[in-house]
Amino acid sequence: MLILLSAMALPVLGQDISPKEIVRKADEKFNGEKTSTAVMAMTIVRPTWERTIEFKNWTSGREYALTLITAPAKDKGQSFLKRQNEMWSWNPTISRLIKLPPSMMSQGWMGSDYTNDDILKESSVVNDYDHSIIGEEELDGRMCYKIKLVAKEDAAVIWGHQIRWIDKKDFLFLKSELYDEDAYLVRTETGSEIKIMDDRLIPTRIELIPTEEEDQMTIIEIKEIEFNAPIEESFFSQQNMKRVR
Amino acid sequence: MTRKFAYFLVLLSLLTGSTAGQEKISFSGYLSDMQTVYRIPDYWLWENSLQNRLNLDFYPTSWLSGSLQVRNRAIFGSTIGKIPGYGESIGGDQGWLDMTWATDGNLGDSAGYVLSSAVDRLWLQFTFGNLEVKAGRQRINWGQTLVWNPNDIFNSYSYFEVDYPERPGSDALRVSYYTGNASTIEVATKIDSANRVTAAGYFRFNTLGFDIQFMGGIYQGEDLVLGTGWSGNLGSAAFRGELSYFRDLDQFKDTTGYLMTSIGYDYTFSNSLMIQIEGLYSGFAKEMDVNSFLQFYSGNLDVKNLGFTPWSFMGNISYPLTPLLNGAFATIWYPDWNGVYLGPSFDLSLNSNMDLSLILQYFTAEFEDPSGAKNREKNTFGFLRFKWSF
Repeated sequence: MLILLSAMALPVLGQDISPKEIVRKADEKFNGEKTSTAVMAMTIVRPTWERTIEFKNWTSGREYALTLITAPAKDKGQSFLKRQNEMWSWNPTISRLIKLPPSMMSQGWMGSDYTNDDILKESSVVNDYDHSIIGEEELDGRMCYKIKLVAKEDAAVIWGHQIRWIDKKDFLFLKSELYDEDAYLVRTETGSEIKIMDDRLIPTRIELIPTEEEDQMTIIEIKEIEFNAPIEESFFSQQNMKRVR
Repeated sequence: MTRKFAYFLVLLSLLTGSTAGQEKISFSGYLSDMQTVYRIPDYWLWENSLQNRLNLDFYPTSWLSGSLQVRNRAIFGSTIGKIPGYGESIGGDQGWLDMTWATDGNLGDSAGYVLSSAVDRLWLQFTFGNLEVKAGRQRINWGQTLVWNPNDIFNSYSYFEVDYPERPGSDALRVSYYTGNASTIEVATKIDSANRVTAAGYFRFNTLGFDIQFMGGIYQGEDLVLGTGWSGNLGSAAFRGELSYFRDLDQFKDTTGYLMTSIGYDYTFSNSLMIQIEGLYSGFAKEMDVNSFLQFYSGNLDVKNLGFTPWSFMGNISYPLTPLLNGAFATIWYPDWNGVYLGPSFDLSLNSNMDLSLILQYFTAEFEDPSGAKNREKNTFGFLRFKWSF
């Protein structure tokens, strides 16, 4: 999950820094330069109901991720492992490991507006896009760089281009607009509830609103996060899918 | 014995040091009530099944864990008197230890009841780095395909059972060694209520985007079994398969053995529409004397009975009509019987922990009676279930 959140955090340092460097530092700040360990909640909001899924998430770079669902009761204990571009799920109820196909990546994760693609394939906002500063705007009383990210031709990304608003002082992601290849705005993401977590100032609440359904929303809340704890690559294993708690 | 074991685990957990501040005992389960209507040849039958599942998991130390899981049921309905041996079948335990208790009786002339309690998981697991030793009643699941699993020789069970996703456990000892992040070697042995021993080894590894497995051993003290299975993708669709070969050890020289194989594809569209197809070939089917679909409808299966006819073809489509309401439609074609199974189902999330399910099963096929005449048999089953998970 953090992999997708990473793409949304874009602080900037210095004045002569290139837009690509801005995005790189932002990405690393939000995701951890090396690893992250987080406790999160995702709430699916519809006009007449809400559902919340709680989970723990371990990541190492963009290559490795392990996600454990901790609530609701019927899904508790299910885990997902990503290693490079392969993904598995573990269901303790039936003691079954299932290898997930690439087609499942475009499916909403646990019924939300976030797709598995956001988790697994969200490519590097640094390396897979060309960046340019297209202006400055104030959002929630904070001055932001407005940066346009255009997908490189050969990059395997699901967005055609993105526009991101980045706090100039604290280099925080505040808003993203994600456009498909036909330059159609698919969804808008905003970051808020900016707090210090593990000695870093980050937005701890991300709201995702699909363009076509304005009364729908998916909210991600970061409840705890630890950056750059030593996690070996071997942690991201099928054995640990069954062991993590 | 069970109670003593639970006390023992609790005591152990109290005596040992804390593991990173995490809870040492986790308690979960569900309570469900399912109303069933059966339309089978000559009868309308009904049944209500109240079910409670309790899972108690223990994590006393980083290297030791354990689980005790109990399935309690109170069933009443006209099925109990009308289906011979139904009460006894619920009270039966396929495992080496008899950990199922049941009592049944009549409710007037037309209905009966069964109360049952079964321990279907009771295991301890020792973990030493990449090595895991798991002893006790457990589920060993070596399947790769999604419907029929010729490689899953420890826990075969009816596909049509809608109210028991956990399936019974095996009384087994299993040693697993994780040779890598996505590869494992396992050796497992189980003994069943008839003292038949199944013992097999298993190796799974990941290469070129595929999970590939090989297994081999002795099945129920009778057969040599060798198998292979895989999961990967063709394009962006999942491609899964299993192949098993069985050969009777007592008549090893006189027989050539039997093959069983399943192959399936599944694909998920970006709107979460999932389509799935799977085919099964079973060499055992032609040896089977099948005169009614009901012979294989419920309960424990011998892996050899996975296919009732030489060929079975399954298609399934599943789609979240809303994020709260999922609809699915499964169908199976049995060409040798001129038969089909149709299974529409709906699952509605009432709130985070409550679900309502409506499941229909319709089956029609032709069977030969002893005189050789063909008769078409039709069965319809309807299930409505409320489930509260905790």
